[in-house]
Amino acid sequence: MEKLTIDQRKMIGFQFLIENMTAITVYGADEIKKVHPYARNNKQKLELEFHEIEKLVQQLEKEKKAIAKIELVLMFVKEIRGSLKNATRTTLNDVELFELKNFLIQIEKLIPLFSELNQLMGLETIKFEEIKQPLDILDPDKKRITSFYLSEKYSDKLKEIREQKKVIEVSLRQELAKEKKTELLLLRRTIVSAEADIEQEIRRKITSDLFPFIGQIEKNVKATGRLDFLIQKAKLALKFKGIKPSITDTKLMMDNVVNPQIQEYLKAKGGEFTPISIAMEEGVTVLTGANMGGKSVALQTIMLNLYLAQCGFFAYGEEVFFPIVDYLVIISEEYQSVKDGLSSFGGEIVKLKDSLTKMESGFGLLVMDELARGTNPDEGAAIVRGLVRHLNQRPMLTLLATHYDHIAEYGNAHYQVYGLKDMDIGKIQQEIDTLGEGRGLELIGKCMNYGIYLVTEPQNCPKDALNVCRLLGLQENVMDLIEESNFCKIEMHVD
Amino acid sequence: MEKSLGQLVKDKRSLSLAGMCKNAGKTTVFNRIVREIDETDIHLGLTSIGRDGEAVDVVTGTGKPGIYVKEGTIIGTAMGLLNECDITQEILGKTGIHTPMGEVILVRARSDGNVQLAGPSTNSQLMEISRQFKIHGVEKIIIDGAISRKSLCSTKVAQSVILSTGASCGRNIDLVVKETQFAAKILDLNVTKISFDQLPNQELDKNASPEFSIWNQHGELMEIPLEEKGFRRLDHILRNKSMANWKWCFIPGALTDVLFKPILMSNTNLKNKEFIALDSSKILLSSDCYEKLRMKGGSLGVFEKTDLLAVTINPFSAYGFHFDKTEFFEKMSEKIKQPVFNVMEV
Repeated sequence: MEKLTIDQRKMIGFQFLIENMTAITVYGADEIKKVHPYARNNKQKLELEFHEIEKLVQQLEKEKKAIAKIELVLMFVKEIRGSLKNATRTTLNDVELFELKNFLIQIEKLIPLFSELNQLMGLETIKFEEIKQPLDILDPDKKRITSFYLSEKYSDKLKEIREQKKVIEVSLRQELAKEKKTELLLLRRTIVSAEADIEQEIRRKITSDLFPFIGQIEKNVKATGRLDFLIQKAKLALKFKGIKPSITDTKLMMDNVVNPQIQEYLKAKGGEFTPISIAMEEGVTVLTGANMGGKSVALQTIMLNLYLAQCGFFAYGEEVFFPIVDYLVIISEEYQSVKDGLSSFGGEIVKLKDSLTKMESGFGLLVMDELARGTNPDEGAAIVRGLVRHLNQRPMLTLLATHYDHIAEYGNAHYQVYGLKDMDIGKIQQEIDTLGEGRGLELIGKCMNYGIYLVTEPQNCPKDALNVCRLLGLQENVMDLIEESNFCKIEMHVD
Repeated sequence: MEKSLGQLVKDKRSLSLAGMCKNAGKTTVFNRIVREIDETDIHLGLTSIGRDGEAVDVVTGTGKPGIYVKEGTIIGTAMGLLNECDITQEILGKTGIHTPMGEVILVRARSDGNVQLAGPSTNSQLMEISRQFKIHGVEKIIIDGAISRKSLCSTKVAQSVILSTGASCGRNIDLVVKETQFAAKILDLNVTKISFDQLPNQELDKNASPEFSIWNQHGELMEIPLEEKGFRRLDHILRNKSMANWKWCFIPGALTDVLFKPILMSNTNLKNKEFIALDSSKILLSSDCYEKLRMKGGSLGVFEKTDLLAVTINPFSAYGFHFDKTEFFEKMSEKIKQPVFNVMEV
């Protein structure tokens, strides 16, 4: 499956979660950047990933101290990939050797910390390699101090010449006579140049001695990134109460899933997110509901949890069963395009046509948010009905939100947003009256039930739109005429 | 017996060197101080603000005279200059601060030798280097104000400063003395009566306070008239009717001629009024402008006072004309209350 575009990731609230992850190392940050949905034939890998996160999640709280220790070491891990690359083609300079030494020192500290923790967890995808040998090359004094210098241990010649230099420098410190001083400085210059030659020779030797270990060091880079990334994933799962998703063949079932971004937003405003439950099988699942009713939120939440799971993250809810899809196509007027120069309706249809071709092979999910709402209702409804009839025969999942009539009949299942159903309209009206009309929108928002339920029997057309008009105080005489022309009522008679 | 340069800086935790022009003898002063401090076993950290343009003589290809340091000194310099340093180097760390000559690296000298310095160019970066110096046990920091003008660093970075001047700054001895006197005066400005806590927005490091702050004669903060807000036309603000009683005015950022000329040319009443800068490094006024301000009865003040320790003079010019060293010394000592040193004799 292709990665969703950044706009889509933002829309469904995936980007929000990614931004909630703070990798400690550059390698971890790279892993986060590389997050990508798993392919359908990678089921085992994806299951393993869930399993790994689960193991970490279970220990995260209990082993807080051990994790904190690991994170402390990770903080000192710096970027070395440039130096590693240089090691294969040129002689490394002191700063590059310093970087490598520093990295290996941190890895040496990390290995025992990690293996102790891993005895409890048994993570399978993180493997550190022994690095004593390359580290000894960079630290012949075996002091494991993070600074680096070309130690005299590397060569007797170097030791000798530095001793000579020292003698001159000491006498220079005491010498006051100008001529003698100049003489000493000249002598020092010759020695310094000889020292520089020997040093370069040693650097060359160190670089070539390190060469056979580069692969090993690279594996440790990888393991470090993985460890950092997995810890972050587990933390993210805990932060918003994630659960381990299960993989199915074609069925999509979500029990009380939430969208953390919207949840946080509502929480800040004193509201609460209504969890969503849905079960989808091949064919079309239709979602209906009034304006302001949260159909889009429901779609976003379902897509988010599917995308999260397929990217190898925990989902947010009570239970999630999902099929690995080859495509996740989103058709929604809001996210296309004025930029493409097409009218919103035109844009939708072009995208729809392209998507239908794309969906001829493989298995996936098509999500449509109020398709053709920009066009006239009669034709729009006809377009949607026809499309649903077509898609309902296809071996794929389709989720369609609409407020056109007689769509659900052609679909496989019909869900409806509760909206203002079961609410005492009179009571809401009273509250609006006391608080003032200005706060009507806010109050209605609060009273709306954004949850969805499975419709088992043919339903009356929801009257929420009219209720909303009334609650918002639309003029009485206009309301009367609206009531009189209520299409739903007339249709009911026909039925 | 007068104190030597080394004795003057003895108790200062941080020191910056400022030069009035190129070839003012700053490097000689630097070397002198380093040598004196080295005799005392204080852990020394050296870096510079930016880097002099002519690092290497383009004609001969030889490097400029470096600073000769003793074993144990820690330097912060650009990666590109490490090859120019002939000390035995121990790499202590990368600072994450980048310059055109590469990232600034902290290096400990494991032998005596010459070093070339090119450090960060902003005060906040210098503060970061100072912090890292301290982690490695540095007790005293000396910052070379490498750019050959009155490049100063903020008091946040260096407590004290030594100003170098010389014949290279101009042919006229009196003019050089006058310019130096002015620079010394700016460096020696008094701390204002307004306390720093009275500033409404104190996040100055982040340049978060673009507005001027103005107080009346009772030290009460005055509201800047709405119609003048955000335009940064200080002359308009000060001449606004509602601001007639102003007494102190704090200017965030630099005090420049561009800002002051409209004020000086208009009939703004400046008698007994004071303009406040964060510290002397923010005052870039020309001596001309400053004189006009004084004539109109205005003055300058700072929140944080720089400690000007001494002025050094170099009677020899790189351009071939020299001042009489006795005359130069006497004229300078007469105008400046800080000790004056002839670099040729230190």
